[in-house]
Amino acid sequence: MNNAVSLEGLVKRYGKHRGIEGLDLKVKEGEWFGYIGPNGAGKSTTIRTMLGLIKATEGKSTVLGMDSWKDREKIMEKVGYLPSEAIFYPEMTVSETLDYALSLHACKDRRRQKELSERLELDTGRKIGELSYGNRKKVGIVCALEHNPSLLILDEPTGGLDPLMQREFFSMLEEEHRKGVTIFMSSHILSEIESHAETAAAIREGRIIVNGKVEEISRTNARRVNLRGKIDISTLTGVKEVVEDKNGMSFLYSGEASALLEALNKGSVKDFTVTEPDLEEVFLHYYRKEEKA
Amino acid sequence: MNIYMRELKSGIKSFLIWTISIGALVAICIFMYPEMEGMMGDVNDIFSSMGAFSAAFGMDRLGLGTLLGFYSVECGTMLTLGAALYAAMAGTAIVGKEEKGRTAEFLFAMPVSRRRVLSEKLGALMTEMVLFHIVNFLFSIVSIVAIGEEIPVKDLLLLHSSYLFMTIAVASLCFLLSVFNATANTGSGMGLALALYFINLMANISDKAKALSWVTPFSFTEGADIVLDGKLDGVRIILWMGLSIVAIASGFAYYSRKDLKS
Repeated sequence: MNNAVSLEGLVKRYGKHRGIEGLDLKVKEGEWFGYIGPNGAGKSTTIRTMLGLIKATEGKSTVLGMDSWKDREKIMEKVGYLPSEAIFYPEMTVSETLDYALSLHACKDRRRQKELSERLELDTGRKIGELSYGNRKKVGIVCALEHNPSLLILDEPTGGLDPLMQREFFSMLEEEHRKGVTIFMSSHILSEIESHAETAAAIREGRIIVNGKVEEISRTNARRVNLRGKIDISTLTGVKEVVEDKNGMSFLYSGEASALLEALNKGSVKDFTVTEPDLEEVFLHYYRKEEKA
Repeated sequence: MNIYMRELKSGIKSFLIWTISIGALVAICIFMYPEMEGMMGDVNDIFSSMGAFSAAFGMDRLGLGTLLGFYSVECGTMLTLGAALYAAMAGTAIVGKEEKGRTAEFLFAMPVSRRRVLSEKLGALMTEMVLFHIVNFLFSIVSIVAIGEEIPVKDLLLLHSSYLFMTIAVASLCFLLSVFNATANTGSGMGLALALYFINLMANISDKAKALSWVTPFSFTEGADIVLDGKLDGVRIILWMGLSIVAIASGFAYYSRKDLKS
């Protein structure tokens, strides 16, 4: 399967300021990819470089087999892009904006635009300047999807959308994904990535710190142990991130199960749970590890 | 042509305000001429002998007593200054507004090249400038007919052509300013236009400052020179049009490789 996105040693610096440093990333065609990172980590810089809005200082960015900078125009024919802050011309109405975007794509078929607007309950007669952030986001979603792109690049797509609209939006994305559309979605909401993406990467301070299948990233030997009561953890190996309070304790455990059972048996425990850590916890773990490094 | 049409549409209000305001001022001025004409016999000598002031506006060579003299001094000042300020305002905003208004990300999320965006925006800017002068030329013709004067067609065409070339030069310089500095406000463009206007006045007033006339496109809009010579100052116009092409080409070259602000 071909790569929809391929970044090789991608560097972007703004003078002395860091943007991204030596990113290597591949997203296969038809894949749903989650791009995770805290604010200012370099997610938008990566996306803007991929879209040829800014020029890479070093390295190579290829989207749909074409060079991001040299072939930007051709790339954008097949890409639907939703920026984190959807900003349009305030004097135009929603329908004028959507038609304008469609016309720049040299697309005359407005059926998809109508269908998407109805699903998102978008009032197309209103002026952009009168719209709330959430409604502007909806306009951005229709703009990104109305020309039937083969790659969707979504930068923090759910900001401003209420939970019902978020559900509708993800249902639209699921449909696109089933049709074979590649989805590159940046977010700092890990549950969004965990629920939908197949592969993911996390970026911190301009560098990729983990990259792979979501399942594999989530899969870890460590388990989250929560208990009411108290046990002696000094006898255990593989204990991390211990949090204690007057009612009990919580820690990540990657040691032998028998040793944990023994410690539980010897301690004064009223109740306990052992669970797999969620993606959020895994990434927090990675971030902390990087911080220490 | 979508971007071109959108630019024209978004600039229509500003175009109408500037064109109708300047056109109305020119028309009022022309309607005042018959009354002024009677009084001019007495004051024409005074106006033409006010030294530096007369020289600044070309009144030392072209008397206010004739329609052409009156038109090129009174209406010419309004038309050149008005056109230059309008060109400066429109030129400074036309490119930079996308980054300043943060709509660049929307526009460049479309399959449009930077060259196409600039070409269509420049096309819209120049269309507005040409239409401004065509409408104002018509305002002048109609007003002159209304006061029953004979239309000096050739002289008016020469005067208005020079105004158009000056406007193109100012618009091109401000277009470049807009490309290089997205945050440049219209004030900076208008400041540039006013500076060029006053440089021309200075060059007219003092022989020592005569050389300054080469650094302002207002120098080839002098009514006295055009009417008395019966032709345009071809050398200066070619020079300024060449400079405009260089400014536009530099703008294109820079814009095609700059990072777009989000």
